[in-house]
Amino acid sequence: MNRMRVITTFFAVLLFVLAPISAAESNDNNWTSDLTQQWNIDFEAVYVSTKPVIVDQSIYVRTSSSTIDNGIPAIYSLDFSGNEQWKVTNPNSTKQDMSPILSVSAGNGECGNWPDMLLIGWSDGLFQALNPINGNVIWQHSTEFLNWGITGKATLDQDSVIIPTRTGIDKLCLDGDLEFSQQLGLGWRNSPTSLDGGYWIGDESGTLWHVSANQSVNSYSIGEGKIRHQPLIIDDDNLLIHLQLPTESELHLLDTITGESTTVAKLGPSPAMPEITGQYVITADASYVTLIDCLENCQVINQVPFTSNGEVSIIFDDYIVVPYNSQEGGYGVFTISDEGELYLLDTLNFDDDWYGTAGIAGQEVNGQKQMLVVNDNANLKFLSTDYVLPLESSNADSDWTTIIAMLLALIIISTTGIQLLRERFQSAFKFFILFITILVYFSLGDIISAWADLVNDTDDSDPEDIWSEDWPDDWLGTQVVIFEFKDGLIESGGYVSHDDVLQLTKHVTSELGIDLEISDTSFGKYVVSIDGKSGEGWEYYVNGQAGTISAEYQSLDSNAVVVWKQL
Amino acid sequence: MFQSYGVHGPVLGPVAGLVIDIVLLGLAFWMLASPDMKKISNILTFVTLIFGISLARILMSPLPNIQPVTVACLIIGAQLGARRGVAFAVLVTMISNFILGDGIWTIYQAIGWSIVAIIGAQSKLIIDNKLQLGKLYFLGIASAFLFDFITSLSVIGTVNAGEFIAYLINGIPYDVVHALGNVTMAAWFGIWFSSVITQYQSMEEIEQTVVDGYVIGS
Repeated sequence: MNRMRVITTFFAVLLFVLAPISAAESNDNNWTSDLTQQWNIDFEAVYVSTKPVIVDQSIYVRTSSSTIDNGIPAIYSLDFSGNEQWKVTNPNSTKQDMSPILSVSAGNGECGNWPDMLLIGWSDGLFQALNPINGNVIWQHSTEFLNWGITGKATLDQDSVIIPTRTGIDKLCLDGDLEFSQQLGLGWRNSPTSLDGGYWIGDESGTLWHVSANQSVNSYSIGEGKIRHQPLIIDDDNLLIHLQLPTESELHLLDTITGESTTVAKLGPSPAMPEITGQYVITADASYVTLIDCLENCQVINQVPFTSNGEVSIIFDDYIVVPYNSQEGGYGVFTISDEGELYLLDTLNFDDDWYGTAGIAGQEVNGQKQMLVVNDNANLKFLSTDYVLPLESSNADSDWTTIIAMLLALIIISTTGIQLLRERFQSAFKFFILFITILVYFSLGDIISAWADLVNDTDDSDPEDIWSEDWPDDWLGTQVVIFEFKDGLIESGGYVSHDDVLQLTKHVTSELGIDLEISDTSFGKYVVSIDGKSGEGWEYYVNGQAGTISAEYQSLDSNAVVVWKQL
Repeated sequence: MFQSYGVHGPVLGPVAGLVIDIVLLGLAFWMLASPDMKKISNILTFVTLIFGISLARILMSPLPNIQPVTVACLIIGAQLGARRGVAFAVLVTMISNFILGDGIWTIYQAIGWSIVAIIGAQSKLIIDNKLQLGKLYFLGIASAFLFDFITSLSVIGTVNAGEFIAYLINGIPYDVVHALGNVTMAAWFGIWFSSVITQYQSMEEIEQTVVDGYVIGS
């Protein structure tokens, strides 16, 4: 009887533990139910009109202001906990700053070399390349200012960037050198499209301009309206243009070979920036969100009543999110059914909803969905599933290890309880002490790290004490690693967001192509050799202080200098 | 500090390592040189225990400072006496360190576990053939801190007093894990391990009685 009771209890505990796991799996496709808000930042009297950008472990947001009394227009860098990493302001840019932030990875081309950059166009006409780590200006370029400057999105074309200026386009090499400047029509929120070596851009008088590779210019009149978005490439040779008219809008398809333009559809007023997803184009305006199938000739499939005039976002592969541009605010979440029709799946609403223009940024990292939402009132929210601080090392294996360990721990603690109820105290103690051991085992890294922070006087250590004048300014405020070999020195910096010495060391050695040999010991990971050199061992220093624990447990500030010294 | 001294101090050269192994081996055999250990069954039992615990130590080495040897030394010291406890401690340290890594710390570990075995032998852990679990838990906790302190002495000479204190203080979480592991080990395997040794002894005694009787009878 007792055995039956134990078996029944065991399966009850097992069911209890497994139930949420299977429920979580079944909810996986239900996109918002498991997304919870982690934080909300109010940038106060400024507003935000373009979506935030996520690059690696950083979030970039741009705020806008029509008067500096309300706040200075700025680019913010935040970490995933919402902490400000840096801020770049431009007090001269007091028009509508809505040019989307563009992230560029380091590279080289025929025209030059460039590092990782954020490209920012300001409404005063300034175009800046910023260091994404610290916001330092790498290079900048001034464009024409006539009431406003840059309001559209710049376009990347191999080793160049095409900037939509107030009156045309400027082509710059990504190292900042101007390749050419072309005067066209007055533009607003317009953006160039790169096609076959040439560039296409619309203007405020309904003209679509073409600048060829040899800088010859052609123009095509689409209609008596305004082109305020990037033309979409359809079937390699055609461009889809959403022309804004006073009381409605028109969708036009331009054959770039023949120059013939056909009207695809008449849509609502004040169109948003259209997006392509597969064979479909999504447009939005003050009346509808519209699905257009462009597999063959573009044709409207269906429309859903909605009001949106800003940015359309496609996140987590399948979900089309558009901001609701009215006082009640919020977002509409659309998707395309198996039958190929657009439908409103859900609406997203928050306590501080207001008019919305900016799109949503979303990404899925190691199974964790992350989403950034911002309205015109500059209320930025971070939502995620199963929020954890970002860890480079997290992967599916460790998730399974955690699940199994949790299952084991729950079984053990349940057994402890059962044995206590049965007054088998010795047995209860056995299970209890096993539970405590497992608990300590899994939290040992944090315990050791916290203990080391507590007992070691780290307040005195300052990276500036060992800062070298030879190091580039770009490394200021970042994580720097020095390898002091007996016969040489390797220095590398500009790293961010590494939580511990070993994580940073692994990243740097991997990036520099240096071999790193690590062994497991009962005291943690032990660095045996660096670049094949072991000598009499390696010792590390953080901001000049010798490490006292394994490098994997030694936590790091965002601006630490780590020195590995060969003994 | 952990990085420069490895787990417990600097690595030794091959000659120094050989000298240490010979000294430790000599000590172990000297400790084993008692009349009752000349019986083959006793020796086999002892060798089995040594290899079993060495294997357990090697298998548990990925776990942070979980040391099955400490509790085993306490029980073997209590059950078989201080001499065999010391021999056991020395041989287990040597054999397991062949796999886990040899260095100056081998001496300190051997000394540490030998002292633990002597404490086990002197602390009346077994009364009326019954293992005193409460006492074993207490000694398991105390031995963890004592053993870790002894092994930490291996870095003396390479660090100053302040650094040594910092080394000890930073190691406290590991000492706690060692103590916790000892209590867990004692709770789960203490009585079983003690009974295994007792059982072997009883069998040997029976066997000896039978052999003696046969010799006398004939």
